Amino acid sequence: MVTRVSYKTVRKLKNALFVSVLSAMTSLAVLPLLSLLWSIGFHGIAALVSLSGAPLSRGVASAVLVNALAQSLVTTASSAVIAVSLGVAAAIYSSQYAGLRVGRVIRFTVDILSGAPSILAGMVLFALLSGVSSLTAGVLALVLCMLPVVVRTADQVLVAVPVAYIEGSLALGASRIQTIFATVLPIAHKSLITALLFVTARMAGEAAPLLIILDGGTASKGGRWFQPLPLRLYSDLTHGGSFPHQIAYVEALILLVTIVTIYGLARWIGRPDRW
Amino acid sequence: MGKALEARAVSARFHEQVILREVTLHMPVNQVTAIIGPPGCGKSTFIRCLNRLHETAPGATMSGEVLLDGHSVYDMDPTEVRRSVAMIFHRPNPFPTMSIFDNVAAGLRLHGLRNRAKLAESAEQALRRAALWDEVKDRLHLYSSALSLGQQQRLCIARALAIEPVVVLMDEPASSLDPLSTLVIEELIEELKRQYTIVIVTHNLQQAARVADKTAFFLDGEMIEQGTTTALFTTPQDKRTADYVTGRFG
Amino acid sequence: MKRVSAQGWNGLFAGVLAVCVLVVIGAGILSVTTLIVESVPSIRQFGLSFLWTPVWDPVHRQYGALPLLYGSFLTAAIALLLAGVIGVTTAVSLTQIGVPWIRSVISLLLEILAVIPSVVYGVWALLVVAPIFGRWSGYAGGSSGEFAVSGFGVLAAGVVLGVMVMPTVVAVTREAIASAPKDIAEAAMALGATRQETVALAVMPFVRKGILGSLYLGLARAFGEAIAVSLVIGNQPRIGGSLFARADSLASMLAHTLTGSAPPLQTAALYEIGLLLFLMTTVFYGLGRSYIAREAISPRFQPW
Repeated sequence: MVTRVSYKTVRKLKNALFVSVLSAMTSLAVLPLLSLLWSIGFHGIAALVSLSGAPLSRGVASAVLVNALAQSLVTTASSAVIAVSLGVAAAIYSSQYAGLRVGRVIRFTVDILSGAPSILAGMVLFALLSGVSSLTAGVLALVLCMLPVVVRTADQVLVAVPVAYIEGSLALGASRIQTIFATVLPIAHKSLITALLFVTARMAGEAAPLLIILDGGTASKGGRWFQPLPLRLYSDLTHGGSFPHQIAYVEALILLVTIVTIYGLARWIGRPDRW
Repeated sequence: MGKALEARAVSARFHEQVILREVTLHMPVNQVTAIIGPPGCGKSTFIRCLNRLHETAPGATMSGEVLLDGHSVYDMDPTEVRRSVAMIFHRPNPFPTMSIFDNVAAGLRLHGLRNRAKLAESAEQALRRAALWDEVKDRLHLYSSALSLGQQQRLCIARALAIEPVVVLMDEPASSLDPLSTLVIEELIEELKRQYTIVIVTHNLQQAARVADKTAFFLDGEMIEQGTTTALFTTPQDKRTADYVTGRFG
Repeated sequence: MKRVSAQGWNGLFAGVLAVCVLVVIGAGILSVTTLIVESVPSIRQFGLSFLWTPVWDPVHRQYGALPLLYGSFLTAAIALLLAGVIGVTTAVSLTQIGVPWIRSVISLLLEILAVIPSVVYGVWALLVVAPIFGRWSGYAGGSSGEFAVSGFGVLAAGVVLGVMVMPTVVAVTREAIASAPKDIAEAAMALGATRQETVALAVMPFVRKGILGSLYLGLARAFGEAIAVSLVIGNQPRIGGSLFARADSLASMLAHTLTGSAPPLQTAALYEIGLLLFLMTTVFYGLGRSYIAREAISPRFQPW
């Protein structure tokens, strides 16, 4: 009887240890994020305040920043439009038309490609355009990066539409097109938009595919004007021995806020329905 | 010997949704108490409150009292409650990664029994009580998936009996079994009630009539009526009970 | 005027969609081909020995991938160790213990961690993490001199990668735990198992594959990460043998070296590095995906 009581205690202790180790590890997991948010939020806002106090540098700095932000907007938006229209079309094919085998081939290819590092897209376009640097090249690099991911996620969303609805629509005499536009897409549109916004949020912060094209290309020799925000931030971090950290913090803050906003929007659209 | 179980004003909810409203029920020693009612009436949730399994689900809360032999189980350590109040589920759920023997021994090992000879002895005893020993004694090392569904359910019963509970809760134990396996389980319940207090949830009225000494009828989270099985089936007091047991709905 | 039949429209529509599929797949094939074609001069020059030549020396036109493979594997190992231990335990606690609202706050934080761009991680790595390691290695006295003060090196890069990979490990492991059979876990609890015993007995046996898969996915991501790593790894392609030593990884080398005016042979060698990177990440990624059921992943949120 004595041993049983002590064994019970051992079990309880073990469980308490388990719970505390898990809690400790979980806090450890969140710690880097808090550190990151704190440092960028704190220094970013502080830098923003001090920069706005210096009239001379303010003009230059804000002109560069606004330019970078505008370029980011243009490149992200146009690459998103291209990649989404192409990608969703391909996903409709793979989910609604392709047979088992063709579908498998498409999914396999897209899976492999979507796992590839984003910097490779920049390298590929750098080689294909033999070093010509332009925003168009940057957009193409982002499209190349985004396409497989768009197809994969869109395909997954569309495949998740219950077959019963599709069969129901076809049984009423609707054609394939009618079924897709009147049944499949309306059912899937929320999760589709959410998933695509997630992909866009990720692409908005990508510097790697742009890096080789826009930083290594010929145009960058003249000035640093083809520089969407992520790239601008990266070169601020690498170029110049004693670069002002303040600018980097401000840029990081703007980038972070933009992307978290897109992410929040995606979550808001994809929020679970309440009945 | 079993021990009596008593529920006093037990209510349960998931988040805001109320599943059970103030159920009070006495489950007498060494008898079979059946809980009947249409799907969604809260009967499974009720017995899950009895061994404190309900509270392990996210968003689940309960209030009221459950007394085991006069002691409130909500004052006890939940692992000890579940050790005394065993549960059989509606689908056989033996540990698929373990052998037949390890399944039966799992509970004993959890509670600290390491001696091999004693483990083997207790396992054999439990398997015999669950009327499974003769069918599996030559293949105790096989994975539990080698057994038929009916045998798997009896394996789960053996696993539960091995740790020597005083109450056995059964949540529609035969609902996924064929008629023959169902019959075996029902005969087993007859046998088991000599040693244990049994509470069985079922949607099968004939089953309740066959095995239960006492029956309670649940509807929409409330207990409508309780009594001896004969009384409840032959002279129901409430119109809803009468409608249900005569098959007018449910 | 002849009206196009419904069937005709259907065929046309399907045709257009099929063309889109071909464009997507074609772009992929074109990309891989480009990587191969561009690296031909390097493949001709060095052959297979490219893989084990321990020198990357642009001055003497001697290029070998070994120092970069060393850097990639070492940083990825540190990252996986961190992300594996912390990520898996976090996934377990997010599913097994704790108050619901705390769980959802932490899940939200981890999802945000996954959408932060790598260049923002780079800012944090360069301005927050590296200085900490600089001070630390200064105290340790292992490697002295100016390098030690900056904190650049394998360890800093590995730790930052670990943070970047962690959301993947948590998300995949969590999905695996969520799809583990609930009735088996309940069976264990009904026998009087504690939380810890339930997890060990009736949850973990079902999530081993998922954990392995998440680690492979993390490995692929760690290998492919260029931006943040290149800022803190030190950008020196050598096999230092110390965690505080500077080094370089495959992807990081591409990020900071492939800028226009490199000599042709170096460019070719860099493209061969890119090809190598593609092959390795594809293998890791493929292995990872093979362990994870497609249905087990929610399409809404995929941080890899």
